[in-house]
Amino acid sequence: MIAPRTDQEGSKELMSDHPGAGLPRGESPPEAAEKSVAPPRADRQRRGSPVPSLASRRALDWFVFFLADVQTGFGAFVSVYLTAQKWTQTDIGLVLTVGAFVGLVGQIPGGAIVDATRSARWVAAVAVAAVGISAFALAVAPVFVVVFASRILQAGASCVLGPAIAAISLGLVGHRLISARLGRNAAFASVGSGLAAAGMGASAYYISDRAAFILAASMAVPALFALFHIRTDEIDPTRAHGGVAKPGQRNAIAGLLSLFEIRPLLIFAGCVALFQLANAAMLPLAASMMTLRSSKFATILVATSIVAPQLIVAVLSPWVGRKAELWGRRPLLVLCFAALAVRGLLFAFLINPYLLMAAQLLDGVSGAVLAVLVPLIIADVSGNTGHFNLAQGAVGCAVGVGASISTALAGYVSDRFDSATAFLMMAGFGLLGLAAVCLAMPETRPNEERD
Amino acid sequence: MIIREATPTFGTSAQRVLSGSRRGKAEPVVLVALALLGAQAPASAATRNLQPLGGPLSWHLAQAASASQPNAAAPTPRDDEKNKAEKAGVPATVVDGEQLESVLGIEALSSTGEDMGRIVDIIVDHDGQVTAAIIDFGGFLGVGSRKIAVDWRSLHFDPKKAGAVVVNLAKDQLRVAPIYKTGEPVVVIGGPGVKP
Repeated sequence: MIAPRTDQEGSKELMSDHPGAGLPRGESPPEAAEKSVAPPRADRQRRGSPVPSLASRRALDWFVFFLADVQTGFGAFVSVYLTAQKWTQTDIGLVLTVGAFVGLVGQIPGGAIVDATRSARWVAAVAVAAVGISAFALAVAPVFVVVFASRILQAGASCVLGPAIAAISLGLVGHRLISARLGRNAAFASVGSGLAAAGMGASAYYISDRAAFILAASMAVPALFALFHIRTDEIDPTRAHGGVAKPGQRNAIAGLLSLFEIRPLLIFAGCVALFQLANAAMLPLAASMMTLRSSKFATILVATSIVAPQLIVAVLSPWVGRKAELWGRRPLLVLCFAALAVRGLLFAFLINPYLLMAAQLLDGVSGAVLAVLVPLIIADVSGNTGHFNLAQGAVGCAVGVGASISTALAGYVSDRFDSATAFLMMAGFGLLGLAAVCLAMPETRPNEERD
Repeated sequence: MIIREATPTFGTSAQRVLSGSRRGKAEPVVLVALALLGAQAPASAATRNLQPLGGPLSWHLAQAASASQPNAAAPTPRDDEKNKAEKAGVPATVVDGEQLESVLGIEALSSTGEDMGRIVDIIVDHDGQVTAAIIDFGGFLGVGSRKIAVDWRSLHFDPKKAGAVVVNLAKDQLRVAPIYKTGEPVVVIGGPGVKP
């Protein structure tokens, strides 16, 4: 077995799979031997697959879990809370729009920031603290200025945190094992947000709305604790940035322009934007239909259709992480878009609210696939550019644009015509995305036998 | 990923702002002021009974928000202790704060105590008479809620239950109602004779 080696010139030779390839644990004897005679770290050549300690891996698991806890509930729940605080709909809409705008526009700078810093951990720590503070501020002082600032702060922090987590993961385990690692991240994150949604709902019901935000804010403390248990020396900054940028492409603008030349990245960004164009408005619209059609259990149905897909993501994403290495990325992307299109069609034709909830479970399938594949494919295609995080930011921006257009368009169509037409339109976008994946998207899994 | 989808994106929140500004120039302050006055409207089952404090009062108000709006400044028949001999002041009434409540954001309950959502807006006609309250009904953590226009006369403000309003309708009557959309004919649910 040849030990894996990646070098700066761009050609990658990876060893053929051995049974343990998909799992983050364990290390084959040749690798261990290689590591002991590896050249000094000052040498930029990366050798062998890094094996982070169990402590670091566990710490990353829990960091992702608690971070998802903090981030949940900054969505639609904020508007419920502010309504109870006697805000008008206009003011609520304004604050949410600003937050969404910052969350969209800040994606690229956020990625650039993570690329520019040596320690992704510190950036993540500052961002987690910012999110915790903004949750606390929301709970304590729901006045316009404070909420406005809090939304901007939280949106900006989340722009940084997404790339930072992927960067830390890549820095820890390297490209060969990143697929399984991302599967694990997605599992912990979805369990975290599912539990947090349930917890916030319960505390809002039994205690008060403010208690829900205090709960979210308090999750920032264990998140920081876990973050600092990830051993710094095990995160290789070069790996975390996806290599070293070529001279002349060091700064963010030049880097961004250079990313535009990577065709698979552009195609992938388009596909994911199409996905969100179809997907973003489906849940709110379907939930509204459930409220309309179910009398006693409407709230429970909606709650289940939010939490159950998270559980499905938790179960499926490790599987996705393994299969992405084994089958390649494309079959899973096809699965993702097919689930989306089928879901749209089902929503358009089903009346029974219980069946609607069952159809919503397909969201878990698509969500699991994308949660793993988005950072994975970006890592694949931005391999040696040194702009891994910037690329994540760019794709995140495209995704955000798709999502925004989706909700506005779906709202317009369901007002003008009816909700079935809106669902059919979204299923149509899903089919378009499926066609794009089948026809245009190349397989990005690094090839074992190259040249 | 799924929780993020529930995040209001640029599109939904922009919709909210646009629908708000289409309603006209009404500021939140005036809205609440109108709501307070509307609470005394000729509702047959209205239980409010205002007792202004003290005798006639004359206040020199630098800027009377209510005075700038012709609808809101009209004194209601119940305030017969208003100051009549006003020369250089603005007519005003001082009311005990305990007897008034803001309606924006308060909970709406059915007559059996079920949660029906919260009041998010008040609709008035061009005479300033309050027509309906918009209730944000249903949903979980803000996802899946629907805005329904409920006739003002179906709402009862019980002084014993401060901070909540009782809606004289059943949950099933509310959930099948069409959503309230600005710019379109408003479907107002309920009325004085409607029973749950």
